[in-house]
Parts: sequence; structure tokens; C-alpha cells
Amino acid sequence: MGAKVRFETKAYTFHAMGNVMKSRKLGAVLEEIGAKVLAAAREDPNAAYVASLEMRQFVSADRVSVQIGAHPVIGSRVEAKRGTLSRALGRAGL
Amino acid sequence: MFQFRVRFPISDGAVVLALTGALTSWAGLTVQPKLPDVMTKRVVTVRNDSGPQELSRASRRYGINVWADSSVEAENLALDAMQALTLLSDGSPFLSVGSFTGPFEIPDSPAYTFGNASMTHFYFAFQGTVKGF
Repeated sequence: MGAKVRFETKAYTFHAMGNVMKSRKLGAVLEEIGAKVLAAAREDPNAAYVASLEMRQFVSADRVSVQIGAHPVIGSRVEAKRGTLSRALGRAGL
Repeated sequence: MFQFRVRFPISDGAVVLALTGALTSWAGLTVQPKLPDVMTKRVVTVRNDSGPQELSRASRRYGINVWADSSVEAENLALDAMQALTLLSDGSPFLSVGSFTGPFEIPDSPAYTFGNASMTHFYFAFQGTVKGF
């Protein structure tokens, strides 16, 4: 499940906005928010799940994004059972 | 001094009711917030993961678990449930629903059983917005 983030910028042209959308600065802002989600998810009681949690940053041609996930099988089991990441997003205000 | 007072409604009942009403063609179906003590032929559970609130709006994330006694039926039941939930946004209490994720199969270990058959488990999630009053 994803979450969108709102931010303010002084960029006022499409070109400038495009540069902001894939900037390192915005990536750092997203990682700061992602760290809160990751910290909340790490309170899950399943140690193997917690150990497999990780945050990655991706920069595509037009934007930067941050993804938090766990190993596929254990990640889907825990999410189906307790909704750990879903609740972690809520706790981070997303 | 101005005080912004808002009270948000319970929404789990609306989700359970929408699913129960829309999935009447599925025989032997149990829809409830928690897993039943004894599994029926088909089971849907509704879990509220909540979310943040802003002024008079609150986000509600839901996780929907679906079990049926065959893989095809479980996936079809999950897809029917997703379709039913898209119609939830009538304002009472959901203003909008979206961000559907899934359904995808969850490998239960050990698998739940109905009779002698193992049940297949699918899961999907969605997000809704409710209005406070």
C-alpha cells in the first residue's frame, strides 16, 4: 500500500518542478518520513519479519520514491495477519 | 476561543454489511471482523487498520482476508468483495474509497481446513475516507 506526501516548493515551472520531484533533497525528506514508518513497523512481535524490513530509495526518470518492505513470504503473511505496515503508515501520519 | 470538535463514526459495520449484502450468491459464507471458531466453506474477515485524521476527515485503511476451499473460488470471492467495496462511497460513513491493493495469495502455515480440504487464503487492502460530525 502506498502513501502520497505533500510538500511546498518555490518551483513555478514544469521544468523546475520536474527537477524537484527527482531531487536528492526530496529523497532525503521522503527517507525522513520513511524512517518513522520503518520504526513503527519494527515494533512488530515477529523477529524474523522485523529483521527482513528494509527501506530503499528509487529515482526514476521523473520522480523519487521510497519503498519499505519485508521478505516476500513473511512480509505478506504478517501484513495479512496484523497489517503492520498499513498501521505504521497511519502512525507516521500518512 | 474557537474549538474544532469532531466525532468520527464507526465504519467497520458498514464494510461488513456491504460485503454481506453483495456476496449473497456465495453459499456458506461468513463475514465478520474476526476469524470464526470453526471455519465455514468461505470466510471473509474485515480488519480496521485505521489512519490519520485531518479536520473533519479521517482515513481508514482496511485489510480484508478471504478464505475459500479452492484457489479459484478464493480469488473470485476476493475480486467480488473488492467490487462490492468500490460502491461503499455513498457518504454513510465513507466519502470515498480507493487505493485497492491486491488480491494476492497468502501461504498459510498450517493451512486452515474446511472438512478435509485445505483452504486457500487471499488478501487485499483498501483505504477509505470517513467524515466526522
